[in-house]
Amino acid sequence: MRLLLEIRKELLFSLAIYLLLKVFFINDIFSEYIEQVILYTIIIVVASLGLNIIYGFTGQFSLGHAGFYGLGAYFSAYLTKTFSIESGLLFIFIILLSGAFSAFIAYLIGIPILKFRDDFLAIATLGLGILIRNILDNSDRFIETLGGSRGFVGINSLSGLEIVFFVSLFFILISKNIIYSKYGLFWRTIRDDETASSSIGINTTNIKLLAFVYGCFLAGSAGAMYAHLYTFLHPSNFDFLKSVDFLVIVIVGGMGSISGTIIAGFLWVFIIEGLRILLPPDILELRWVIIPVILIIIMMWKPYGLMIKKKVI
Amino acid sequence: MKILEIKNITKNFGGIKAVSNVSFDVKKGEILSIIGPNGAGKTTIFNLITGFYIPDDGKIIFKGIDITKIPTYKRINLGIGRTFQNLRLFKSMSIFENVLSASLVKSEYNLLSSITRNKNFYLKKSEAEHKTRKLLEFFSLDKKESYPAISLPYGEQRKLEIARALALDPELLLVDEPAAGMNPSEVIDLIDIFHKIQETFKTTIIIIEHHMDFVMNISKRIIVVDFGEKIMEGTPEEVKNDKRVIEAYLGEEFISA
Repeated sequence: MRLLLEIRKELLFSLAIYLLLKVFFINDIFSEYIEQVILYTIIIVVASLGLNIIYGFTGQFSLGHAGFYGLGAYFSAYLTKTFSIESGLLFIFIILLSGAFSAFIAYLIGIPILKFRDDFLAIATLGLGILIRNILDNSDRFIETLGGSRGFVGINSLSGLEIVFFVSLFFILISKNIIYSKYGLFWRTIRDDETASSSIGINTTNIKLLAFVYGCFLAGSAGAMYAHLYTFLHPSNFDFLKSVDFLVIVIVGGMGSISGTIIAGFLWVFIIEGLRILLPPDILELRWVIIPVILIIIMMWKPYGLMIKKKVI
Repeated sequence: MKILEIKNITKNFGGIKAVSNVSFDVKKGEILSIIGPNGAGKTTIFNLITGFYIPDDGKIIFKGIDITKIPTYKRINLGIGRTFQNLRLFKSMSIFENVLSASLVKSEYNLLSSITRNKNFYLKKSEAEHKTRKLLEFFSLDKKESYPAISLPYGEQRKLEIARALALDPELLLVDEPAAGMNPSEVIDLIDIFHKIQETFKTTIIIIEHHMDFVMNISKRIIVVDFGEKIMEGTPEEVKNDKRVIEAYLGEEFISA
């Protein structure tokens, strides 16, 4: 009960947003394309929140986040296709299962690679991301359905407004509760000073692994929702550049800020997609001139991210 | 009663013997000081006791348990707290959070109760917060608890680090150069604080320090190390008058002064 009382503001606010979206969606005020972009953004926020926990809160730089997002996407699509799953409830179960699958892989890989620090960890996770992408590229050699470099086609469209919105809300609230507990506090002490953290008796190996595994759980779950939104998967959607997308969202929003990740996630997708609508087709590629300029301006204006006020150091 | 036994520990870095065949015991409740020139291996001894280094040879026994090879966090949870020579605070976090993090380490709630926020979560949380407030009051840091740790003046940062270590309820506290960078009046305060710590928390304390007035004032037993070896162990009077100690460390002026 106290839990509901504590999060009542967030719940009421989210409910209002949901109702608003619902009204818009029912009355077809948005085109189908824009509806898809809105759901996609929510999914991206969940995956970015995962990276914020790994990097923003715990300070473990990862360039392989898109890999775990892709693992969840392929895993879930394989399951729904093989078992012809069409019910929403079962799909929610599949989302959680896909998150768990990514988390399990992250656990196996995290044990050896989280021993590295800083730039060494960056290289290790970069390699990991490339490895996953290559496995997906050749996936048809061991499982025909996955499609390999031709792409995974014919996935059921199951990611509707209700499922995407409420599953994501659930993930965000759980994340908030973990962040505002001793675990979140230990994540931050490790980011600040790992040696000092072990000097106060924190099992830093386990706490770092928890952040990595949980962050990848969110990525995998987000991937599952993504797969059933666009109903088509291609390995190129999960390469290194996608990991950079997540990284940009975390840094622009602010390291260790939940609201920052949500705002930056929407900003990022809306700028990219918005420019696609605004710019005439013949100069569309000018987006990739405008976007970096916007990023530079944001970082000059708010060097620690949109939602972080001021750093003392 | 012995709380800590160091038995012939040796630690080499490449060809350099940082600590060589050092042995000593620490009695429950005492304040023991380790002195010696820079680079003599004092901090290495602390790092060996807390498990940041594993000795090449020898044994470390804490409360009768052989801790020579167990990981740092396990030793700390057996009841050892420490501070660092070059302050290691959680810089981006508040003064309160610095101490709270240590108060929460032994707090018994799991991931599930942090998600569901059950009764036990709130109980353990308020216990830890209460303990943190008490400690901050003890060190007169409570008025500034929401400030970032880095905003404190140097002397108070040292106190905060000691408060953080005490939040672990250590039976043995290792303090590395607490008086470094403090002015004379702060050093006098610090002597008081250590006497008070010993009284209030019944903690056994080992101090590494260069400030001789401080050392002579606070401990009844002193260990002197030089080039990684223990050259002398005794009362402040004995140490002051020992020829080897004067040669290696104190210098002639200290005696004539």
